[in-house]
Amino acid sequence: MKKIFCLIAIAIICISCEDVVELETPTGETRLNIDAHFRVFTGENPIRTEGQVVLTETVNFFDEAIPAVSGALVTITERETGSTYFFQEVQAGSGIYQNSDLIFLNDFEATFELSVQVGDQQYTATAALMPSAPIIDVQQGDLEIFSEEDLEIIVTISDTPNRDDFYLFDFGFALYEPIDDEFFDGNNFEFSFLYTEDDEVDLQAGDVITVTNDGIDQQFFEYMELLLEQTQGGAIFSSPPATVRGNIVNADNPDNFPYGYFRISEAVSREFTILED
Amino acid sequence: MVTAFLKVGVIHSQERYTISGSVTDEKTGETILGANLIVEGLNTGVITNEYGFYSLTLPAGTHKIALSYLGYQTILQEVNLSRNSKIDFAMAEEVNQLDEVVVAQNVEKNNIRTPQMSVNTLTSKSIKKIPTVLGEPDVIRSILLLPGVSNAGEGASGFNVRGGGADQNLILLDEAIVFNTSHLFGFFSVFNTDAIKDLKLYKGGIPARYGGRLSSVLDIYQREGNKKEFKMNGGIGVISSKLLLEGPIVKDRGSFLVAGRTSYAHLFLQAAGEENTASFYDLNTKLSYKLNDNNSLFLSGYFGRDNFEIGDSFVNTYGNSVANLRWNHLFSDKLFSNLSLIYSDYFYGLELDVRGFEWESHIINFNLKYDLKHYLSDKLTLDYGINNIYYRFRPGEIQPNSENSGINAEEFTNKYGNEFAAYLDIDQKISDRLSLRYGLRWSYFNRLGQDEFNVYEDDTPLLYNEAFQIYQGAEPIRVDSFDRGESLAEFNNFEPRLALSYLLNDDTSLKISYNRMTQYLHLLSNTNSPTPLDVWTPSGPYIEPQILDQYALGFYKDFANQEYSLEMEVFYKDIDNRIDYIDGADLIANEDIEQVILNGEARAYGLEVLLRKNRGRLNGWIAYTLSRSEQRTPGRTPNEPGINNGEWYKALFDRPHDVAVNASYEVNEKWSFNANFIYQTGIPTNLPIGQVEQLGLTIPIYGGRNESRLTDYHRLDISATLTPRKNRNRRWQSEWVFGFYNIYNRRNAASYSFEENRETGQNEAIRTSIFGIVPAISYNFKF
Repeated sequence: MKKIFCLIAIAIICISCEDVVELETPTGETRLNIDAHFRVFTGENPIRTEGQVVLTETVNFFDEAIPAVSGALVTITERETGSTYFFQEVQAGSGIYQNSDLIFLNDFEATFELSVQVGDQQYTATAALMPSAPIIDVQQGDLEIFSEEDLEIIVTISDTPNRDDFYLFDFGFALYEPIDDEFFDGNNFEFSFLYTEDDEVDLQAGDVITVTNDGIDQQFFEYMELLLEQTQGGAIFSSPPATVRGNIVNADNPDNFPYGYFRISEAVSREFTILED
Repeated sequence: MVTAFLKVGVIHSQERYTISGSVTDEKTGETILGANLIVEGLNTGVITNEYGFYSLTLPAGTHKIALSYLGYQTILQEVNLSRNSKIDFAMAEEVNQLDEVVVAQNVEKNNIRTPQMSVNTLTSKSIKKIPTVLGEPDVIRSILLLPGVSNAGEGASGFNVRGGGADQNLILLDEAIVFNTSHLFGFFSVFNTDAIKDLKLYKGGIPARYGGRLSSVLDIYQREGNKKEFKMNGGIGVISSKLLLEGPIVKDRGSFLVAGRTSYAHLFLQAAGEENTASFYDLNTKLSYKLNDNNSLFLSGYFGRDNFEIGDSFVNTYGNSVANLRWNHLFSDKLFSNLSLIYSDYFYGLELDVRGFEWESHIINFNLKYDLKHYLSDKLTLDYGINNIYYRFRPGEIQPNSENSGINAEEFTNKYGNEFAAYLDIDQKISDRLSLRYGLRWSYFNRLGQDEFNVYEDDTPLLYNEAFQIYQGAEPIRVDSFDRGESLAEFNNFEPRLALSYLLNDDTSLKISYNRMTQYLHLLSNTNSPTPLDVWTPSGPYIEPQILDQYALGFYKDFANQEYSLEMEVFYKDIDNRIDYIDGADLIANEDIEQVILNGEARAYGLEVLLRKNRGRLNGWIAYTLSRSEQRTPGRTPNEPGINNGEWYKALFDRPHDVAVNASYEVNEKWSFNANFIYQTGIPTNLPIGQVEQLGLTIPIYGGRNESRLTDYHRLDISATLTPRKNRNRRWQSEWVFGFYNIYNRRNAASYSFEENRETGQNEAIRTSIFGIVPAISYNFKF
């Protein structure tokens, strides 16, 4: 529904003017940011997994470099069995922590606990594997809303009936679309996504895109909606921006909370080759 | 209570008689409201009411009466009163002498003697003089030049009065409530200035006959139409045109008026192959008929639609429909009554092909009003009446727009409410210097039963998740169904009103006022300004009615033989139950709005100064407002942060400094010039306090709410009106209006957005500004 709002905002933008201005912004307290996203492609043979934990620190909005956080102790524990999986920093100073075998995440019944220890501060979060839905078709359309550069991709999914489902569609190039099944529960549902000029992806005929559907829960759905609203800039009509809090907590010191999210998605992906216009 | 005062009125009756009647324009037969009738030597007088009626009781004998109204020649008449008399007055417009231009000021002077304060009046004539963007005169843009009135900037509809929300204005068009006042997303308002007689804006000291909104009343009266002869006028502008037809049905008894406006910019756009278009049209109609001396009927209607399309994929339509039947009846020469029956429907529709659905929503209300005005004596006037409004809210209905659509049809639960009010206002002249108006309004709101009503554990629809430090909606434990006759919640409120004026001398007065107001409807909007998509929701089990207390003190002075006048007011107001939304609340198509709302309070205070030059070739005003508007939304328990950690934060409509200058200069009969200058402190906004990267996205992070501001807003508009000399002595009259909006092309920030430039990878602050310099030309005619 937020999209509708954006469309209305375009009406205003049509006659308005945008320019880049120099501004000074304040710098808040330095906090830890934990980016922990995992995918399990259950339909593939063999089952494929991907994901990592990236640790960084917050900096002023206009700073060019974002400092990585090294030397942390990162683990995921399966609550029921108590099995703990350790993550290693791939390269000293990178802030990227990986585990070579993530197949343990392929368990819809399990609850996983993420633990990140930086110095004397411990940050924790829990997540479970959330179901996705099959992408049954990807087509190219000719809808143009923002400019002639717009490229329409029409995706059809098959929703599971009688269940509140939430999906995060990933169109590559850090372009996402969260969707919930409130109005199409149990149906085949077709929707459009536009690559626009502002996305700077410059797709040509013959290029291959990958559309991925991640199953997510309601909390992450709402988180993503808010996150995307903030990255797409505060349009005239948008609500006041606010701190986007994820699902990771600092139990010993709640005031020193981190940013970021820990989630595990069942994922389905499909490739599509861009056609001539 | 009424009879008690009746007695007071009768006590000192020697031989007293009543004169009453109506005041009209000599040429058109239109009634004149707000005309000032003064009895010389007696220091008493009366002002014609909304229907041009007056009644005044005086001792027997000969009296000199002066009847005056802005822009009209004052009538001086001697009246020999030996019995109750009916005297109708017909006033003639002031004629400008060639070399001696006498221009009456166009904002009506605040009457120094009456207790009413914090009110501004504009006539349609003066609204038309004010330069506007794209040349179309506009009611809302005109009132923004008054002290204490601001808005969320260009391209934002609605207005804010004394730091109040845009949803807190009661906007009445011929007594009917208008919910959305914007055309083209706020660039124009829905009021056609050709069809309007005048308007009054009450910012404080609001009389008891008005209720249901907290901050202000904008009372707009449409013209009845010419009772003498058939007339036509129109205008051709850059993006829209208008035409008005009026004339007698039965000479001097009945008249009609039809006025229409339409934009046509979209036609050019379509012709040029542009698929994205925006357009609007509206139609005002009015029929009036005088049955006999004691009875008149008025039928008025408004119909307006906006249409906005992006190719075929997105179609958005919205607008108001209002129908209104009124009956004026004189019970006696001292008791005037008006009965209004009003139907109004605000419609909002959306067709979104990209998602395969249509969405439709309505706010429907039936409004019955019975208002009486009782002129007991020259010292005592009563206003009393009742008002009942039945609301039906249809928040939305979603339907698949084709057979292939994967959308399931769904109708959101309709909501129902009934608002009843009864009031009494007493206007009493205690002495030559002291006048009082005091009254009470009793309002009662009944939230009626609906088909699906969410019930939550502990009646708590919003939970605080302490671990994640976020608010989350609760799951309803069950959904109940209620009959329409049942009541979900009832609210009763007594709203006292008080106003007092004390005359220091003939040219100087002091006034104080207090008013309590209750508002049972809430606009769900967490953006700066109302949008057509905004949804109203009635008070009920989870949302309390908003209650305001306002105190105001004013000083008024005329000087230099009334050529100049000065008005100064201070006000303080305090609002309970002002809702705000949890961080990131999604209000669009949200059926469970109670899950994203927190209850809070608001306050505003300030100083307003208005200095006017009332006469001469050069006239105009300077308005300055110094004010503050804040909001606080604490957590419900000590563990909850609420919004902004429970601290006061600036309301979005906080504008500490607000300056408006309006000047007009008549060079000669042919040319006149007009200019506006506006300066306002920037709108509160949020700047990021840092950034993080997640999922490959650069995300700005924010601190407390509304801690920073946009840059200050200012602009200058000018316009010139050319009235060709050949106009004189011919039927076809015309004028050209040339104008520039924002003549020094200031890029006023409407918002900042913060994002990563995907091409360069740099983070940027992007300023959106709406209008640069906008030239306009329009041609108006009448015959």
